[in-house]
Amino acid sequence: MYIQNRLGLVESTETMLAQSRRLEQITNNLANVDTAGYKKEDITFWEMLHSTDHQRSRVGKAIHDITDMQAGVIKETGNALDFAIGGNGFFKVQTPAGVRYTRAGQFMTNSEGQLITPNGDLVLGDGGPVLVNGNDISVADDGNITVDGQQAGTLAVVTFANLADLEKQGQNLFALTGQSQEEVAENFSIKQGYLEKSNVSTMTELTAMIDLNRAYETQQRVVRTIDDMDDKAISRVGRLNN
Amino acid sequence: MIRALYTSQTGMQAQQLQLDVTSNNLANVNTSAFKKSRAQFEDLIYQNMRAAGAETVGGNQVPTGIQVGLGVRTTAVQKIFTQGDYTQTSNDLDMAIEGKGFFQIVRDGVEYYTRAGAFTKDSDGYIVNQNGDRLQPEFAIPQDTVILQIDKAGMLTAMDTAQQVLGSVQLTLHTFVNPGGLKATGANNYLPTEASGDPIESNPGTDAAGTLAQGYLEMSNVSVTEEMVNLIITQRAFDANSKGISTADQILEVTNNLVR
Repeated sequence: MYIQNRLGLVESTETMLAQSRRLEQITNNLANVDTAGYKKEDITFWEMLHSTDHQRSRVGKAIHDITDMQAGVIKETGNALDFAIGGNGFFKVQTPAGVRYTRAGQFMTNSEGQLITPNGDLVLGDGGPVLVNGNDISVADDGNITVDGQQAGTLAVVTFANLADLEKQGQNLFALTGQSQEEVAENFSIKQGYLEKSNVSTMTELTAMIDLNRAYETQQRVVRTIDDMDDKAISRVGRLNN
Repeated sequence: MIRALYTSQTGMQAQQLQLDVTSNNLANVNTSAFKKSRAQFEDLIYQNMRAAGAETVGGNQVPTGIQVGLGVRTTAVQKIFTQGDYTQTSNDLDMAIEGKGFFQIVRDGVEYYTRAGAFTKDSDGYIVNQNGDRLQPEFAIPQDTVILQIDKAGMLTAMDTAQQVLGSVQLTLHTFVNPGGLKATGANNYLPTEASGDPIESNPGTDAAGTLAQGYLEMSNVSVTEEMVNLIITQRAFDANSKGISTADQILEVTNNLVR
């Protein structure tokens, strides 16, 4: 039985790469600490058996990223076209690339009086785009929209059996990529004049950042130690008097 | 690794913009009819990275795919057209709009829209704003006018000491489907854009235009407390993002020290 130095090098390098990915995630979380409806990202590592053939295999590390769907703090803005969803659910948005989902309810109207996202994508109601052309817009807890006393449709709020099937698209949007089907959400309440803030906690992120920084340094030591061993193997082994 | 540096940079830039917006709001806390702005952010595109298809002993592919976000982007700096508070001035030509309407003024031949109702007279008796731009429709207040009355519906009546009517005009207001889409041009003025839609002229008291209140001014809708809280949040978020840069820097240093 001998110890293969190269294996240690490979594993250290893998760890360092994983830590640098984690840093990329943390900086992205921190950059979006003020983005409405943003859901923070986290990483999990698990052991994985890499094998080349039935005789040669090793346990390595696999990365899996998770979007933490925990609700953010809901903050009052007083703007009639800001909506927060209390409970589960997503707003439906019609983009040129298809239907997307968002928790960021900072909407506006376009020149036709339709409800849009800041990127100009239409927000969908039960019967397509929502027309809110009027003076007094009020939205009830269940998403029912009343414009100047007239019923103007209902905001579509949907959810999914497995939220992990949603993939981030940027622009505060999620796309459905997995097996889950869109379901009409229940037990939610729309809060008009409120916005859901980002669920990023700076403290958690900064702590994780210190942690990964140190883990990275540790791996550097490992690499150096292996280097020292190689050095000894090359220059000292076989020499008679030291 | 370099990615983390740039991601943090986008975060710092966003916070810097937030600070610009907040300080402009605070600077205009006493500007009549000023509407506060708000910066809106969204996450940037995600890079899909897939680790080389690692195989398990059983020959299954393990989902090692990973998405890396690239930071934050500003989508809009939106004007928030909530109603400001009123202040009583007892000045005949001060008007506050209770509703969504805008006054129309003409400056260098261009029609602008404003909610700032602090008007005065120019040397010819015309009703002008503080910059000397005439309120539309133009009206010259007769010389002998002593009593000037503007009712809720925008009927301006000029009378002499004997309550004899010397002249009158119907003031109008303009509304927009999407006031948030108006372009602020400074001097309390706005220009219509494609996003705001065309101005719709109506008499005060009809439609959504709102009514006029003579002797009142609309104050800024900036809330100092809210802006102060924003300042604190902005500063802390800026700090946190700068820590991202220094950590990336340290890690790069450690990497460089791998080779002796």
